[in-house]
Amino acid sequence: MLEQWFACELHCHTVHSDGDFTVESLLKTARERKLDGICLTDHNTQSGVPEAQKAGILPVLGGMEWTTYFGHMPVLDCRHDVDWRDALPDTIDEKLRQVHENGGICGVAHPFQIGTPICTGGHWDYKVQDWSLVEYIEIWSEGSPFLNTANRRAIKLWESILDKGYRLTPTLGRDWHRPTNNMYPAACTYLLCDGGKLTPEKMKIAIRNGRTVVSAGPLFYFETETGATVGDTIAAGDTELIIHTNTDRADTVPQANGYNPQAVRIFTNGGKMLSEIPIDGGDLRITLPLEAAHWYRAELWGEIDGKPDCQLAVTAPIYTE
Amino acid sequence: MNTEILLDTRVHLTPESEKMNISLAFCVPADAEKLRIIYSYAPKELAGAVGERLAEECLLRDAGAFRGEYPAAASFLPLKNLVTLSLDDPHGYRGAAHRQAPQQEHILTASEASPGFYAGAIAAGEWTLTLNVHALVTEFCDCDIQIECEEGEQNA
Repeated sequence: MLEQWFACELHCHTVHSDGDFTVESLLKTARERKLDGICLTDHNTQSGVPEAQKAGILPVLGGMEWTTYFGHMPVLDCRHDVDWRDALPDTIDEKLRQVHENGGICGVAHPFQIGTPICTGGHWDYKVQDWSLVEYIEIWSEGSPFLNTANRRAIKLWESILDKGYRLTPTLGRDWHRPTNNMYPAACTYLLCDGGKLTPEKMKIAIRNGRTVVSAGPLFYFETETGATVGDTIAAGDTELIIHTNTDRADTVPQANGYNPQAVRIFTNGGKMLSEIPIDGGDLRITLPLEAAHWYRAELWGEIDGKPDCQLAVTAPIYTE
Repeated sequence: MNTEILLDTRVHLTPESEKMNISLAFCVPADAEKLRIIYSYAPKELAGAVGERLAEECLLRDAGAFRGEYPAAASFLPLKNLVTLSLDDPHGYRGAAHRQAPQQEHILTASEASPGFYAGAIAAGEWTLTLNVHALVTEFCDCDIQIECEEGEQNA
């Protein structure tokens, strides 16, 4: 089955913690936003997950946002609740291992949110030793993503971890608590999954494998001639990248913004911008000399509602051997 | 239907309690069918000059060199105490109520539970209610906890 991109929201709350959404209203609002799937990540509980999964409105990957004193860590699809209450900065790796032993995956939520007492525990203070124990990091949290200081710092943190040779999947977390807009209406994380019906298991695999694009709305990704794409590992050397952009889904979301993609920027190790290429609709091809043991990721820039110089989308990296 | 009070206590917190878990053990008798947890804490909020100073310290700590890109400390007032409840039965975690309300009431039975908690057997034995002190910004904060159980007909 051919792979397919699905629009998902990976960070949602309901009345099971401090959200205003009921489980049903969250799912219906997600469907109105043309989302294909969500992760339910209430603070310190999975009590809403059975109802959400039984509702049959959208595929729901169950999880819990560990809302600790030293950081917020979404844990997805963990068979058994590992205790979040005694997590400590210096020994967090042990907790990450326990989550993995129970089949779960771990993320870093809004690492540069202002923390206690303004947003309790919201600032990431954990000293992860082995980043291979963390699957993903929210590089965009609520707010106007690219103007948000915390998000810009999150991208720098993400790049610094990639530079150490770890693979870390970028995600968007709307941190959705209520229907009011706290981000562009069509913003989402696109997940590349096996085609056909989306399932929670496919969402989990896509996050684990780095097959994501963080977006204000447009679908934007790249692939090689042989079909390798974000999350994959390819040989170094001159490589042609085919870059795709479309706003088909984004344009159908109620109150959608107007998008005008204008340029693609390619970034690599050290956060260095390798190339900036203007685009004018349709696909773009560019050949780049890829170095060994590097990461390469793309960003889409352009206008949102006529406002210039907006970051429209950020892809996960492709890696070289 | 008999109602039995399993725990009725006040916990006095101070700023030193922040980031602590305070566990309160209670014993659930055989034949218990329903637990009711009644919880409140006060004070909830802190404003004024002390609050503004704490907010500024927080912003300087977490925004660091980017402090200038955030609004004035006063815009983050009032600061709030946040003391949430989490629950464990003799076999494991039964959920949490992570929310701001300083007055809460929760029930658990075999088939139903208040939002945040897991429905399931009200097993006899030692349970633990834990106060999770996420933020404690006032000079003190008093938490009142009462836990009742309802027992089955055979004990009535």
